[in-house]
Amino acid sequence: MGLRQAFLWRFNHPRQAKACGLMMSLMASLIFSHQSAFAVESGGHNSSERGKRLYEESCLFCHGEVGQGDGPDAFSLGAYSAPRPRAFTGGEYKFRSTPSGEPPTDYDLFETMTNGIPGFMPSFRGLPEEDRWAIVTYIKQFSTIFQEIAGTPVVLPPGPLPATTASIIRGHELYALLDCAKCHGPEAMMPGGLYEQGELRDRRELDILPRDLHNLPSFKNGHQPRDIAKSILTGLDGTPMASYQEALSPHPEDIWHLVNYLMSLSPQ
Amino acid sequence: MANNYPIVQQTRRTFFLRTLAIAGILSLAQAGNIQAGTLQGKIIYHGPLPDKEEIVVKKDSETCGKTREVEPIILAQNKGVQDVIVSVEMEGQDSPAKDSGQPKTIVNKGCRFLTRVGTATVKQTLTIQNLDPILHNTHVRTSTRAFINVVLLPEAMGVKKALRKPGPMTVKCNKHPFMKGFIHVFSHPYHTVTDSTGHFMILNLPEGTHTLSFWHETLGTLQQTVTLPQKDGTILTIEFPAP
Ligand code: HEC
Ligand code: HEC
Repeated sequence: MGLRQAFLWRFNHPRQAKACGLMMSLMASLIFSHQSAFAVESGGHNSSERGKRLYEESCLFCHGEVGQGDGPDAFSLGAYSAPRPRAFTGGEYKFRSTPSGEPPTDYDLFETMTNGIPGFMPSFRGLPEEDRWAIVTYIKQFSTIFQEIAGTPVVLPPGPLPATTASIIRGHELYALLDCAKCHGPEAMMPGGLYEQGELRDRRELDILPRDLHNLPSFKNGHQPRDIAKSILTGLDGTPMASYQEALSPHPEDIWHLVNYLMSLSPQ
Repeated sequence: MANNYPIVQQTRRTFFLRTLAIAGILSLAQAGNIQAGTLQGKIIYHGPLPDKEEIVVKKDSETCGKTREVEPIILAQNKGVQDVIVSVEMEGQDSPAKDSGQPKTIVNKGCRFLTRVGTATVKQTLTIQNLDPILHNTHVRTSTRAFINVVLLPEAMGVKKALRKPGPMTVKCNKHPFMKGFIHVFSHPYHTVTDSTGHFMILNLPEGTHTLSFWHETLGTLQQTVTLPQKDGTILTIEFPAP
């Protein structure tokens, strides 16, 4: 299977990539590095013209002509409430597979665009795949961060682990130990104390609501176990939701218990 | 020290100060062992002091205390201003950072950042530690984006990350909003922070005329030119005007 096919396979069946451990991360890095190669390949002049045109057709209304998050529709979304459409010029992204402070991978951007953001941004699954890649290349040029740092995906520990009662109980314990309640509320009955006190702000100093952890479909960064693990480990940059990679490092497998607990909160 | 570091001239010349708008010059007769490329100074403020703010700590007060006093300007008896970032305006140098290799550390202790106001040089490693028995969440931001936003377990040896870009950064804790800090990153090694008496010293500056920048979280920014070398023991006095 050629690299390109490997990549497409990963894209078409992202959830089938269940192989675990080192193998998985090795594969992931192969796949991720292939993506950048792909982006470079398609980054020629014609493609950037195409990227621009597609961006202007599909994204400009919200994200603005020069990617400052100030398109004409951005205002009807409520200029004073979070989240505002992302300003690509800031180079800061919430939904990443990469550590806090690093830019997302091309694939992260591709996935965000493909899946959309529940409640805030439509899915662009309808656009041909090549068009979506051309847009990825186009929005990256709004910020120099992509030239400065090559985002490297974090390695998830082997998993997910089965959602046994013991695992969910451990997850519940971790939720308390790791202070998630300060923002998401005790037992994830949101909102937590810090929100009540008006202390949760996003990058624009707008009040930001912590995610309702009882509502899986509202998760912006995907709601499969691997997606949730990714959100918690890497954090949502530009919001108070920080990376828990370091905090979970003594027992990396704990991430899966936490994920199992969170998933148990939503009605199946 | 690396070889291509700007050589310090040992010649002693009288110093010359170009702009006098807000600067007083105080010459101490103390003959020191100070090199020609050494810049010494003191920052003072005579204006009105904003009220101290007392914040009621709502969470973790066993560790953080029941209240937290925030002083917008920390002034010594002699009117010296603490925590002013002093730096030389200079494009990136080929010279390696004076202290590169030495990590710059932000320690969370007693729900305070130590150091609260600091400087660092590009390529230095920033280490973030937590010595408190509670969780902290250190959120370091540049003017546009997160440098790192990370949760630290109690007594965590912490995370390390290389500083890649010059510029000012703010440090916050999402869990304890009264915790605030500043760290300015430079592409050269000529920067420091004033001590509790408002004094500062920058070593090994190349000879010539330099523009100095002074930044304070409440008082803002001032600039001043100075020509080196200064006379032995000369202390440049900079006064922040009242707002
Ligand atoms: C209806 C308005 C709207 C349209 C149209 C729209 N977006 Fe968005 N987009 C948003 C909003 C709002 C956010 C911020 C959501 C948040 O922060 O939770 C966002 C965020 C993003 C992000 C940032 C995700 C992150 O990790 O931080 C990307 C990437 C993105 N949009 C890409 C696109 C692209 C590409 C298009 C066009 C194909 C597009 N958007 C069209 C509203 C829109
Ligand atoms: C300092 C406040 C804070 C703490 C502590 C916190 N969160 Fe969050 N979390 C947020 C905010 C705010 C959001 C929403 C960000 C947004 O919508 O952009 C969020 C979003 C999330 C999401 C949703 C991601 C998505 O895809 O939409 C998950 C899952 C989550 N948090 C889990 C946790 C867990 C588990 C913990 C504890 C280990 C935790 N959070 C601790 C503030 C916090």
